[in-house]
Amino acid sequence: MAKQKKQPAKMAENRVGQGIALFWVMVFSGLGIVFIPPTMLILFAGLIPSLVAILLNTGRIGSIATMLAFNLAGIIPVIGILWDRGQTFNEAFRMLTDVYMWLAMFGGAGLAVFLSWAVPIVVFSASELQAKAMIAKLQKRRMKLVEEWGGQFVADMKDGASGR
Amino acid sequence: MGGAAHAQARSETTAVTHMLRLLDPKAPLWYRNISFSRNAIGMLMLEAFRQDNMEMKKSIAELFESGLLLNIAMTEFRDKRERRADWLPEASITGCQGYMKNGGELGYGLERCLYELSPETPCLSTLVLGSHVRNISEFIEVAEQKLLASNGHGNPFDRHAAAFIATKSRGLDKFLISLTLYPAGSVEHVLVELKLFAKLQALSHPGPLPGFAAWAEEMLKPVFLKIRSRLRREVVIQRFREARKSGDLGMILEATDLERQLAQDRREYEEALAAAGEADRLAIFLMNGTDARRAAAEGYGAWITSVLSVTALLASTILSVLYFME
Repeated sequence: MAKQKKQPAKMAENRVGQGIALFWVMVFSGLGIVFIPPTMLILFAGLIPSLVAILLNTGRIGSIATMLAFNLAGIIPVIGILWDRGQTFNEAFRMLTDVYMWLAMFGGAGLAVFLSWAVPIVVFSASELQAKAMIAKLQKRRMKLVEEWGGQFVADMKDGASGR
Repeated sequence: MGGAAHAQARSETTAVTHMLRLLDPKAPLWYRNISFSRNAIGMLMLEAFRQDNMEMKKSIAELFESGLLLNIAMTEFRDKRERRADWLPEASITGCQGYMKNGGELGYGLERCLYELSPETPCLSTLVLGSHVRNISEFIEVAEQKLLASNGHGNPFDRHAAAFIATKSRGLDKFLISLTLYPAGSVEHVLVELKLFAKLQALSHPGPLPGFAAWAEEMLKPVFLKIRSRLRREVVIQRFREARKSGDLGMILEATDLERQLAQDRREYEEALAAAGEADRLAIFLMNGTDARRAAAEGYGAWITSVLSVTALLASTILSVLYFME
C-alpha cells in the first residue's frame, strides 16, 4: 500500500525535475542561438541520436542520460575544433561535411547504445557463472555427504524435505 | 471371563493345599501336580529343570509368585517356632518371590530361584551343560573353550547363565537392572552384556579370552552397522580388530568407546542432514533465480554504464579544455 502511494509521488517529482531541466535547456539553447549560433548548429546536429532517444521515450531515464553523456563526450572535441578554427557558419558547415566529425559525434552515442546493451549481458553472464559454480559446489558437497552417510541418508533427507 | 475363571481355579487349588496341610501338618506339601518337603523345593526345581517339565516349573513358579509358599511358611512359624528347622530360610523364600516379579528378565525368574535355593546346582546353560560348572571361574573357562571352538558362535548369557552369574557373583546387580531397561538385541543391551563379561573377566579370569573376544565380535557386528558414518565405522572396526588381539573385553570396550561414538554419530548425522537440506534449498533457490539475476544484472549494468558515461564526459571535457586552451 505504502509502495503504491509512493509511486505517483515519485512520478510527480520526476515530472517537476524534467520540467526544470527543460527550462534550463530552453534558456541555454536560446542564449546559444543568439550568441554562439555555429556552435549550436554543431551541437544540435551532434545531439540527433540523443534527441531520437528522448522522442522514442523508452521510459529508461538512466539509458537516456547515458546516451546524452556519451553523445556530449563525442561532441565536445568537435566544438573544441570549431572554436579553434574561429567559430563561423562557414567552418561549421564544412565540419558537418566531414565524416570523421560525424563519426566522433555519433560514435559516442553508438558507444552508449553498445554499452547499455552489452554491460548487463556481461554482468548477467558473470552472475550465472558464479551461480552455476555455487550449485556445482553444493551438489559436490551433497554427494560427499551421501557417500559418507550412506543410502539411508538420502531417504531421511527426502523425508525431512517432505516433512517441511 | 477367562481371567476370572483362572483366578477361581487358582483359589481353589490354594484352598486345597491349605486344607491338606491342616489335615496332616507333618506331611509333605501338595500343590497341583507337585509334592515336596518344606526344605526340598530347591531339589524339586532342579528335578523340574533336568526333566524340562513345564507343568512342574509352572506350579513352582505359581507357588512363589502367589506368595502361597511364604504364607504357609509364616503360618507354620507362627504356630510352632521349632518348625523353622523344617523350612528354607525365610529370606530365601522372600528373595525368590522378588526374583519371580521380574521373571521375564535375564538374571531373574525361576532359574535364579533354582541357583539361590540349591547352591550346589551346576550351571544348566546350554553352552556349559555337562561340564559341571559350579563357580564363575569355571564358567568363564568352559565358556571360553566352547566359544573358541565355535569361533564366537554361542550364547554365554542365556537365562541359566545369567541367573547363575547373578547368584554366584556379587556387585553385578547394576548390570542386571540395566539389562531390564533395554530390549534384548538393542545396542544398549549388547553393550551392558559386554560390560558385564568384562567385569567378570577382570574379577575372575584376568587372562586373555580370545573366545569371548570372538563372541564380542559377533555381538558387535550389528552395533557397528548402527554407526552411519562410513569413516567412523571403519575407524571403530579397525580399533576393535586391534583390541581383539588382546582378548581383553574391557580393553575392547575402552578402545571402541561405542557409546560415545554412537552418540557423536547420531549428532553428526543430524547436523549432516541439516547441512544437506540447507545446501539443497540454496541450490534450488539458485537454480530458480535466473530471472532475479537477470533483473539484478540489468540494474548493475545500467549503473556501470552510467558511471562510464559520466567518466567519459568528464574526460572528454577536461582533455578538450587542456588541448584547445593551449
